[in-house]
Amino acid sequence: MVTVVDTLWLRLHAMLSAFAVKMTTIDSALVREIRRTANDAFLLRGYLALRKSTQGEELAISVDIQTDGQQLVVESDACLDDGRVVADGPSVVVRLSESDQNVEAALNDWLHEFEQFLLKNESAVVAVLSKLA
Amino acid sequence: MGCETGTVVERLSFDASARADPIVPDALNPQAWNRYSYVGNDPLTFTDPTGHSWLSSFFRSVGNFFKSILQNPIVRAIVQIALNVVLNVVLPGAGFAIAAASAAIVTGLSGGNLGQMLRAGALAGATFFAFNAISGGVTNALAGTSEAEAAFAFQPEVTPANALMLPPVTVTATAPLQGSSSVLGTIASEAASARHIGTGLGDLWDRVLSSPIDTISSIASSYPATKAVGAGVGLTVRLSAAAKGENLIYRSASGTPVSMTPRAVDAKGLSAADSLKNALPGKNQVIDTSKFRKLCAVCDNSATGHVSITPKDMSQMQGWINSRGGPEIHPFTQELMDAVVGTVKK
Repeated sequence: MVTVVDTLWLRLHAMLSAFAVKMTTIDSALVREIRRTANDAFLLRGYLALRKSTQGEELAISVDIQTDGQQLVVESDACLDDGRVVADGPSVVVRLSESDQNVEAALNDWLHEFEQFLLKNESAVVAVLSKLA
Repeated sequence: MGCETGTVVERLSFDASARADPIVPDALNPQAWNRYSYVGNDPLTFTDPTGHSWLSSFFRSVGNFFKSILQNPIVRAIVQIALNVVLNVVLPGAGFAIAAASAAIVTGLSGGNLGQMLRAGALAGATFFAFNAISGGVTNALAGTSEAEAAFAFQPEVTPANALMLPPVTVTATAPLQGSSSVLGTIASEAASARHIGTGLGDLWDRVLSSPIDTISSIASSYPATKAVGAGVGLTVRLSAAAKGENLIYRSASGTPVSMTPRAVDAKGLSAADSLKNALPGKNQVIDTSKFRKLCAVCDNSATGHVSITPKDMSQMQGWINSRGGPEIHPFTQELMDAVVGTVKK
């Protein structure tokens, strides 16, 4: 399980980094942070956070992974720090009883959708970032 | 209810065997109560002494027919709805009993044992009460389709939100329905029986069933939300924090450290809500306050359900505020993030 999440995070990190670079190219004053956390309920809480100042508002593109031991639930979105959802990202439920190949294929499909989600919402994110306090 | 069902089942296999079995093999299996049937409740296996009686073949065919068609959840739902309709005519106003009886009868006909029958009956009866409480809002939205269509369109689904059974739990049964509360009960019991659809779906209903009727009703009435889904109506039932315990609060936030750290204007505490009903629209972090060590959560406005999250030692509040946006995650922020047990979008 750890390997699956770590592998997924490596690829997510690359995608989020590329997206962050794009955003800072548009607005060099943006503070960006890419981080992963976890707790008892979440295998992974990964995010790219963008804000204009340390005490200011924040836009985060988040990916959460939870499991009950039988399935992985991956959810994503772009959301302001106060909870307002800018865009819902792709989500997937992957049964761990499936073969490794099927699990990998399902996660690959989700990653592809997530990449498309970033591309599709690029201008919306830029618009929101421009209005951040 | 179970005895009535047993009678119906017994008729299906009557005359199937010429000799009564001296032993009832399974007291919980109504089909085993018929001592003229062999080996449990499978009509495929009963025989008559000669093994070639046209009469026994006829009854065997009838039994097999009912058993086979009732394995289909759609057909089962239709039969159950039909029973609802018939019983509603015979016993007007006895919605609870009707919902329970029809669910139990259908479960019995489809080969369920007494435990399953009672469970199905109780579920349907309980959900009748629950949904009856919100029937004004729901049934008005349900007019215009036939009950048969309702059964065919029944399509419970697992979503990421309900797949892990994290609180709050969402079970969605989508169906265009006739405006009958007992039909709602039917649909709900179908969702309950569809254990294969999602891990823990049955457990949800076990928990609902084990709650007092007024709690179930309260849960349902807290979330009377209906939404158009295609040609049908999505009926969403959520277990509230109250049903799960008093420890869950909802903070509208993205979940990042910044979003879980107070700003200067939050000097009295980070805002949250005591229930999903009172939570702000958007993404909410579901926080289990029983995990708090150095933090506390106080409901400071019972009318709005507003909750303030503060350090137990308020002298540390300013230090927490100052940490917002810094390179390190403040210990209070970390404690709060560790207490998140799920997310829900409202």
